[in-house]
Amino acid sequence: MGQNTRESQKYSISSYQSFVLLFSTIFGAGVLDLPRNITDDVGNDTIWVLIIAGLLVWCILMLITVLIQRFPQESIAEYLIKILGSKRFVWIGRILSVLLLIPIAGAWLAGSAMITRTFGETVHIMILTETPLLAIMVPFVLLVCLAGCSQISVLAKFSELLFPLSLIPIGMIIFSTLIHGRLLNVLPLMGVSWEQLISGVLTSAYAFTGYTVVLVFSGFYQQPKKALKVHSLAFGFTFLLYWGLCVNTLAVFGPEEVTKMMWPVLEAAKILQIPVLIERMESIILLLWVSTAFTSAANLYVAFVEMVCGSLKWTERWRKGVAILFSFVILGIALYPDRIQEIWAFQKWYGAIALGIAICIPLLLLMIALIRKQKGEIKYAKKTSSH
Amino acid sequence: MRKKLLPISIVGLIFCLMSTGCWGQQEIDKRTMIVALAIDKNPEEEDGIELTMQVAIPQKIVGGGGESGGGGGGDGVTEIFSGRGTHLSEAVEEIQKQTNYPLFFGHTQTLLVGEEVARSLPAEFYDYLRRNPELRRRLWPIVVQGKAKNAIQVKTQLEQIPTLYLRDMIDTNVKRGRLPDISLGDIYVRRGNVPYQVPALHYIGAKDKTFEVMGLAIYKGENMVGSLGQELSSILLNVVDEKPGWAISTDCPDGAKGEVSLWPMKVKREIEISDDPAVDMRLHIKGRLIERGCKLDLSELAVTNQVEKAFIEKYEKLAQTLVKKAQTEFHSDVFDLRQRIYAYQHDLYEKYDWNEKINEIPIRIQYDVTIERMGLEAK
Repeated sequence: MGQNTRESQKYSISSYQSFVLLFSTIFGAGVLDLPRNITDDVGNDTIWVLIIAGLLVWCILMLITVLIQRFPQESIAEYLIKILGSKRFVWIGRILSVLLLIPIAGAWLAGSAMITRTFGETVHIMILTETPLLAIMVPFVLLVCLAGCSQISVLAKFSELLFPLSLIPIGMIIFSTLIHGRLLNVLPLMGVSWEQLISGVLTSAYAFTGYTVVLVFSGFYQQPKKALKVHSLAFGFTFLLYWGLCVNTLAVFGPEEVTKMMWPVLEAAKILQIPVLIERMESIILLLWVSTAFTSAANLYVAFVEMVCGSLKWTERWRKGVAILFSFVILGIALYPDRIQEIWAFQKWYGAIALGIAICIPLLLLMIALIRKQKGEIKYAKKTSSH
Repeated sequence: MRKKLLPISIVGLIFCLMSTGCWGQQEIDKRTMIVALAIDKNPEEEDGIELTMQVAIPQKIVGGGGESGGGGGGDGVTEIFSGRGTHLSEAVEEIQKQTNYPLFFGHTQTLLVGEEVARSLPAEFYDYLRRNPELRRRLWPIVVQGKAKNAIQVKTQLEQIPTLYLRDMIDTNVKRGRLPDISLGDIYVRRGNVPYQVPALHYIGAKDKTFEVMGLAIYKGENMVGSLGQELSSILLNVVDEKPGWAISTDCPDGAKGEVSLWPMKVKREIEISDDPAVDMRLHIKGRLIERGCKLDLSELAVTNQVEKAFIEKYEKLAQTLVKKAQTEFHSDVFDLRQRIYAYQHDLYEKYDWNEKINEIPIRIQYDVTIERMGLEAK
């Protein structure tokens, strides 16, 4: 029965849901210190360096999309064996695919852990300074674990529900900066050196992690043909918000101040006041931010669990076990760094490795698929309308 | 269903335990609520500061609930604590030793800085304030004439908590365009900008039962170098913040005895920096006449033009005084021109050492005044 459930889910994610899923995965905790990291590298030129980075990531995403469109309604575990395996020696494909799946799975797990830790640190430093980190992180991981236990269609609906909620803080921050921002802080745009440019582009590209989850989610799309458009839209929207937040925090604080602050985006929210009603907004913003961090971590984790179960051909029954087991791993990784500097180093490594994986593996797979002329086909198209 | 009951209740229990916030639980009335900070030079030691805090006692505030609520305001609603130390955290600890509950900075409204300390701020003075997540960035930093401790001890009649009175006073004047909108966060930002300069801050004096706005405290780099009175700070507000500033009076034109007074409402500013380098500013003020102390027929346009001209002369004279004062007395870039050059004319910025140059170049300020209306009188 378990196998049937996965089969019946094949066409469960609508175009809008895939848009929300991709948006909420990318738009995570990483955005809090994004302006600091980039401005540290390229100063005022963040404004256009970020655009270059965005284009770079968009190209990678398109590469992935082309790959998954070649194998519509198949999850990565399935088409990997097709691409890499041969008919005579099935085990070759199995072994090769596991070798490629492990780094992707590891990156997702690490990403989920990193978001958990960042979330814990933000709450710990800004509001609950006396509460132990573990007490903040355990409920979060518990929720992520709950999400991991559920099916992708449930997650998609849940993300859909939280989507407007996550837009509120962003709207507030952009509003605050429109009032307090100064053009003087953004100018001048000087030329940066090539080294600075490259490191700036890479730093910004690190911030857009998590889009690799489409490798798994695409197996459940109702209309895989639309993926190119939907992915572009989702990424474009995310990028626009990232860019808006960066430019706005820069306009409010100026390049020097941005590099000095722990979380420039949150500080930008802090200066916002609603006269008479509320003088301090940061708690509210942080509360709303929980949903953003959560959907991001949960999506990565669900993709991870799905991939593990899918590649090992485990039935639905196993899903809960896997989800519960690996949530301890998330907690373990999240608790590992002691100092804030270690978290930053961890973030940087994670970003670099995730970017490497996002470029190399899909490129490799697509090339092999093209050479071997491997292709999939839509199996469930007819049922789409009835759903 | 019974099968699921156990896991659900376990998860529920964990959530309840984790989300109650029992760690670091802090009752809202069991903390020492600071409303104002005042910083002075330590009278005993060479370097070091004296920190004074105004603490609100919520139970005694009328309308604020509590058992003893209902009594008159004024005395007993706030209490003053003082601590000394070589740096801020030491002074804070000193005060913490005297209080029964943990200090809470979240409601701090003003940061009063004594003039003496403002003139020689300790290195990295703001660091403690920046690191503390409770302190907000939108609080008013105020320079106090004389000792800040005197200002924090003022007892006002109209407002139970004197700090709220002071905060509202600054708020009012900022809204009316008579003081610049400079909060603590703005100081942080400007300190970080490329030409290192703290903007002009609110400058107040303490009186017996109230405070008085004295004008603006002028900074060079990080330290205060002097102050401007009402008239000259109006010019600075016009130029830097595009705000109207205080009401202004001048002698009646044509040698008539008496004065006319203008209430400026709107300012438009144009700043042009040529490659010479020289700075040209044009300011257009629109306002209304609030008092006429001589016999003039203001219904005649020609007469009004004459009055406008008298105001223009007055403004330009003040502007010249301000430029001279800035360049020769303060040696400070009070008009915040360096950042403007840095941002908009970067080639020009690279050519000179602007820290010196800014005090040598000609700065010309032209005024234009329009008296739009004159109250309920037709003449």
